[in-house]
Amino acid sequence: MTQTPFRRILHVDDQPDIRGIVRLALGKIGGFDVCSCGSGEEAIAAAPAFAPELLLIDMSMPGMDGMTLLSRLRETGIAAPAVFFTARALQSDMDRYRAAGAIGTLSKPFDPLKLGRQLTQIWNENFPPQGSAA
Amino acid sequence: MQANSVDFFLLALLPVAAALLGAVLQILRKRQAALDEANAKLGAERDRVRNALEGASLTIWDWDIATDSMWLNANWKEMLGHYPDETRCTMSDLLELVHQDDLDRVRQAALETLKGMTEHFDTEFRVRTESGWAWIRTRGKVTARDAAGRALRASGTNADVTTRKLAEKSLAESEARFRALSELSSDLYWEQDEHFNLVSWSAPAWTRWRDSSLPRPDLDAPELTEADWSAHRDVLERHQAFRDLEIHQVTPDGRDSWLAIGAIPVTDEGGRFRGYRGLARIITDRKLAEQRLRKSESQFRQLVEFMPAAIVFVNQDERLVVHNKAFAELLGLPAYEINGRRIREIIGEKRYLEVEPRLRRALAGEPTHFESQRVRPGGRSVDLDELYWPLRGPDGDVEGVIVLGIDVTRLRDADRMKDHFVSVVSHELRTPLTSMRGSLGLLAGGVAGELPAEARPLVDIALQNSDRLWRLVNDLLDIEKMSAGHVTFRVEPLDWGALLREAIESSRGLMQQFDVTFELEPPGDLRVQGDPDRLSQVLANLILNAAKFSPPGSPVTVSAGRLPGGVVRTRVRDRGPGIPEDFRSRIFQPFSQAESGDSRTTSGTGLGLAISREIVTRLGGTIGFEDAPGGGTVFWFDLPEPEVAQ
Repeated sequence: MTQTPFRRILHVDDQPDIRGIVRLALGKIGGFDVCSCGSGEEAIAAAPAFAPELLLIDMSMPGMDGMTLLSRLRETGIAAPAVFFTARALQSDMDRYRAAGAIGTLSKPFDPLKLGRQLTQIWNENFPPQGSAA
Repeated sequence: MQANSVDFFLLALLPVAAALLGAVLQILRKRQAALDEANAKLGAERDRVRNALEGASLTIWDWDIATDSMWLNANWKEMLGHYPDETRCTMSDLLELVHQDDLDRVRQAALETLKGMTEHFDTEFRVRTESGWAWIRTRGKVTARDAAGRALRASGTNADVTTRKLAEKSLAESEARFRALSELSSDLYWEQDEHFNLVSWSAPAWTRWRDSSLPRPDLDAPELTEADWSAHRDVLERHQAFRDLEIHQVTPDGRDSWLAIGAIPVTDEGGRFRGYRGLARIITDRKLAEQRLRKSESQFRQLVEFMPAAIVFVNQDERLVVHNKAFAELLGLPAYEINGRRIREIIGEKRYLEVEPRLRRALAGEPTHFESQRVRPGGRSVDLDELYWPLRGPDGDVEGVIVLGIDVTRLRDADRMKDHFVSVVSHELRTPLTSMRGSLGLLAGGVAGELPAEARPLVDIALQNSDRLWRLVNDLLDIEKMSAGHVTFRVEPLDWGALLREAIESSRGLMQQFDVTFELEPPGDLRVQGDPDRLSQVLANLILNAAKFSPPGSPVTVSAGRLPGGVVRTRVRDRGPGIPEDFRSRIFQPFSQAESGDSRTTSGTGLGLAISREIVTRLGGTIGFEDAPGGGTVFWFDLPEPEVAQ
């Protein structure tokens, strides 16, 4: 596996199935450190200790939704870039997500074998690797 | 002594003689006086006769038959203009003047009188005058005959009757004209006496009206309403003129028949009412046509009135000429506040601004159509399908606009419900699908260790089908988002050759699935302006489509090239059976698929082409298809080159 610009991913999703699949896809296949949380509260509690380099947050969760969670995380000093998992993959919502601090979205369903590469691609689009054309 | 006695005798006779002489002289004087008196009387008499003759414009004539000597008085000159004051001539001279056509008649009449067959001679004929022809009436008789009864002398008068003859002629002509008119006219001429009994009528027209051989029309009982009849009675009793009185009657064979009657009162010289003289016209055809028209109009009016759509006719002044119940209800106004008013006053300034351009276009002859949302007086919102249609007169000029407003609220509600349903179902499907697809992906990727050989194809089947379900869900959400206008495009210059290669690469799985090969004709250095993700989607759809309809073992060819006008055309060609004729018109509609017995061709969602068209159109391009030369179908789409797009 090639060197990725980030390693620690905080994943938040209320669906245990999805958490399991993402943990396998990003951990076992992608080689990332994955911290899985089942709710916004859990994520806020876990984030400071984990010190994530990327946040992967499901947009529609019962209770605290993805947007609220992101702003709460920012309040606690978590500045890592965020990617939203969104079932409602409306392009027009992208501006709103960006304004909230997201660098991209991924739609469900997803191919677990490609998930790590997709995240890296989104990262590179937002933070071009050193030495490439600005 | 004898002499003395004679002398004495003579002397004695002298006084007697003187007395006798005196008496004779007396007698002579008296006779002279009587003669003078008679002469004076005669002269006066002659003057009176002359004056009378002159006054009466009579010529007197006297014909001595034995010597054929004709004498005429001075009036003859007056009549003819070319004779001396007192005229002597022969009968032949006179006959020379008579009109050729009258000559025989004059001769015949004269002969009969001379022979004594008729006592009087009285005939009319034309004679040549200085200025033309005059009608003369001559009357006379034989005044002397010899012992054998032969006529010796005849006398009489000539009168100028030209004026009367001309008047008679003109009257006869006028009567003939009138007769012809009343024979030919579809109007019936009739006369009534002062008791309103019909005394005269032009029979042919009556017969035509009655459509029977009954000679006498029966106008005693016209079918009028009570009110009409009493009004007409009033008119008749006041001896007034009337017109256009319509009378209905059933013909003997049971058909409806109508007359329109007009008449003027007739009065005698003393101004007394003598009846009516009038015309009647058969108006059955017109009345029947009117009835048909009224019936047809009533039918159409009811049709318009009770149509469950708002209908308005607007004239060139933008005034509402006709409207129906649905329109009044939509506005919440009573009919009297709508009719004849300008559309601007009725719908208000704000909505007029919206309507005006459409109205203008329709008045210019161009139909327009749009959807709008309005709030009814009760506060309920309605979706309206509004149609503006030019209303043309018989000569083809636009006389106004028909506005049709169809309430499509329920239709739109159903649409909204459907969209909502599709959206909810799609979203609900995603979550389990994500878990399924994710798990299968991990299994196939060997995360759970190498799969047993028997398990491998089963996992692949599950994976393929969950991918298919994934595409279906994505397609459904795409079409919903696009039809709602929720899709924004990222438009940029694209290296088109690279994108085509990528598209073929990512469709490689189809080659095995459908037993086809993919060919790319290298397009060279081509660039188009568009959204790379969306255009990849279009290419994937077209390639999948082509693969599905290709016979096994055949190639699908992708090519692209520049067209004039800064346009790049991309083609995807298959060698399939072509598109059925009846499917061509709806091939780009959502959920449409050609009928086919082959299950693998019907395995799609029916949304791919609809989505592709939506994308290409949004990017300012066009999409279409044509039969490929040599068989199969070419789907193509045109997109602008970057320079042109900017």
